[in-house]
Amino acid sequence: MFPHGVFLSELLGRPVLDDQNQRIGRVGDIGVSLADSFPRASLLKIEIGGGKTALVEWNDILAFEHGSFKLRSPRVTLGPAEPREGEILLARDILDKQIVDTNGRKVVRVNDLKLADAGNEVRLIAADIGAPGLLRRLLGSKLAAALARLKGIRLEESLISWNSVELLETELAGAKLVVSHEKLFKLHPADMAEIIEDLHIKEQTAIFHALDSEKAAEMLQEVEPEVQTVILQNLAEEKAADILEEMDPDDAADLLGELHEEKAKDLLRRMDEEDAREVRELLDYDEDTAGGLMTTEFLAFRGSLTAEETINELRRLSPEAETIYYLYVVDESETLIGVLSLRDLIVAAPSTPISEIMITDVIKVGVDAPPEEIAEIINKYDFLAVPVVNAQGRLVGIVTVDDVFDLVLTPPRRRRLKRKS
Amino acid sequence: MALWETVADRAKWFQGSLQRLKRQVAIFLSIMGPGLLTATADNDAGGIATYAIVGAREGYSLLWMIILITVSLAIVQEMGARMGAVTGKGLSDLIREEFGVRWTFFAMLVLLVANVATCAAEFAGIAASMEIFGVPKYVSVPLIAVMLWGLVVKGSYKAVERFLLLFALTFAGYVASGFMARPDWSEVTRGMLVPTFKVEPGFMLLFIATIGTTITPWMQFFIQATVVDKGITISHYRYEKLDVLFGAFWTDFISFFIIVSTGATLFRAGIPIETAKDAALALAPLAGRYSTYLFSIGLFGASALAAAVLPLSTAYAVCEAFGWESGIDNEFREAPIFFSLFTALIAIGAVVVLLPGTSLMKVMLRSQEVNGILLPVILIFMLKLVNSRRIMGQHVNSPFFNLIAWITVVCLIGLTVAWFILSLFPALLSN
Repeated sequence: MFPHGVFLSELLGRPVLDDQNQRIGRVGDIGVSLADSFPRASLLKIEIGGGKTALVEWNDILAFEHGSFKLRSPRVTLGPAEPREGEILLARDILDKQIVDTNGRKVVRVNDLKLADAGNEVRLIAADIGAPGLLRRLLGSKLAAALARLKGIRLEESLISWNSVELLETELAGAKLVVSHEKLFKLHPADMAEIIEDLHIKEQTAIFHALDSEKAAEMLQEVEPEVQTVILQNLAEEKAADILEEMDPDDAADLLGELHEEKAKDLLRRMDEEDAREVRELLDYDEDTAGGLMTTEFLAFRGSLTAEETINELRRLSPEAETIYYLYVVDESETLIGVLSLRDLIVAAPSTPISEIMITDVIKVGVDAPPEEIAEIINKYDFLAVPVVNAQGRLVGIVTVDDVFDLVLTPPRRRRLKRKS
Repeated sequence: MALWETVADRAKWFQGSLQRLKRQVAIFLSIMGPGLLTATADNDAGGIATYAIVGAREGYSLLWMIILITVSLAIVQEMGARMGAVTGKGLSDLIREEFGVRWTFFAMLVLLVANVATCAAEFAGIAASMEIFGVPKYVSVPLIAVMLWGLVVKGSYKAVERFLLLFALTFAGYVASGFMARPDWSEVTRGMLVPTFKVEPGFMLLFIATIGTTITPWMQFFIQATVVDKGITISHYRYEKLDVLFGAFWTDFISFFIIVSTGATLFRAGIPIETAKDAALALAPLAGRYSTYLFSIGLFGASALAAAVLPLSTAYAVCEAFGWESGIDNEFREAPIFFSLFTALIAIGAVVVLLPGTSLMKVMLRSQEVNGILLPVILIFMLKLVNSRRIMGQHVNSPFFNLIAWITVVCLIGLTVAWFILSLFPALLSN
């Protein structure tokens, strides 16, 4: 039918004829079945006139000749043009809407859609997001082509192959679309986060609800702080609390600090007690100090453990800690007495107590240390993390290089406006 | 014992409701903003100039209109805010998704024309306020244009925004001035209650400009975008509604007193407004010989704020509608159309003001006329959207809201057509 492909805009409004070549109406929309990765055309919606519409099966189309659709049968059933489950109407549900280009990793608006033959079926093969599509819609295909020839304008076609398109959930469509988000979820959390930032709240919320909490937490950490708070406020509290539990405590504390006090308290109450406690502790520190920057997820062991026992312990804990390259050694009162690297641990003889291989002259900062001081230390010693101790010398957290990095790279970072103590 | 229980229950209940109240106030304060910000931005250069001219030229006789416009402003702004809260989308997104490319192109063209005109008005306001301090427009306009451009693109303009908002609050001075000028309150009341209307092109255009400066096309895009940006959803919407209604009231509370104070001073003395200095005279009862300085500080704040926000919001609206990359976090080559639009609006606005022989007051007034003439187009789009069950569900407009909004549309179109015919065929008037 369309060996060289055809744009949806070129089909809409075309005449539809019955088997006697009598005009029935004009093309109102085209329905496709979403089951395949290149959706198959399955319905033709005909506008009869006088506000009446009819739906015919794609199989009932005999041919597309001289710019008109010719039907196999004389009868068309009048009725509301609602597609069946798993089907959507292209003009109503996709054209002019936003989609995600998972290849280019951005949110784009659909200017036109391209259909083409595949075997003896017609399939949706690409979304047009470029200027030519816009011009074609604005001026009609002939005028747009003429203009392009006349001015010698070379407008770059930009078609996105449909297998890298991710639809967005939209309640504007009559029937709610069931969107898998599968292609989106395969992206790196940082890439996903960037896409998320370009979406509308409703779609953001829908995506976060579809994700499992762990992945959602990973992604939320990558999102800009302002967007984070908006998303968290609009999620159901149960889901929001689950996501917060999965986040690194310092990031969760940052985020909660931005929220309204009441809301933050509600969420903390819903969180798992252990996770909530860690976050609460962090919330007590002033934002521009080591305490405000640090995470409480670190690895600390007693000095009496042997290297082998320590490695076994590490395996058993399979720690979620942000960094496992430094292992801290503490005494009974949790006072920091030494540090060793993962490398030191692995190369040591299995039976050596770690107190013998640790470095006792630990470089550390107090909870009140300003960010500049921490950055300087990390930079000077090429650390991945620096331990934070309280006034009694107890190890309370670590500041990792990425937190300091954030601080340096995003200067006016609008962090924790209203810290609660 | 029974009594004690009741007292304890009462105390508990009281404590509970106090808690609830505290919570509600807290939520309100966190949501508060879009309406009030829009309201303050509404009293920009064009607004101040138009209201001042209304008072100086017509006295209190148009005050009745302000009362009606307030109602229609509140209703129209509420519609936009509600659409933002229900759909989570900006106005231009909705227009594109519901009406397709051609209508979007038309709507964006209307928005661009109105906003180029408004942008020129803002720079006229900047020029006028600086001239009062003896800085010629050929110095102030290019300098401020470049500065605002830089501030916005560098992304550090949040603080500046607050600073300028503070400046703009100076216009509250009109409220005091309105009282101190000792207006004849019975005259004021009559102006409020008795509608007067003159069938002559000049009057009609002033009428259109007054509506057009209070209810502007760009504000509709702006308030909806701000609601969406803040992540306000329909569940918290009743607080936002309060914010919008209060904002509309505040805008017109100030406009009302600008008209009263210019009416009480300039109209009574028979001084027509030709320059910004004339408009400043209305503040004399409050600030005496410093009135021109007070006025120019306020005018500068209001104009500069709008001159930064307006091109930015226009560029966002257009780019979102057509799916082009937008946002000041991007580099120029990542979002070329966004930056070009933003830059072009500032540049054109500034250049119009710099053309030799331009009357600054006229630029401010004319731009509001353009806004008033183009407003119905945007309002019709809004009305179609806000009444669509598919989009708004149960939150479609109530009949009363539709009535007021349609009256606004019909009045504006009627006035525009009448003004057009009367200006083309002035002979009609003499008959």
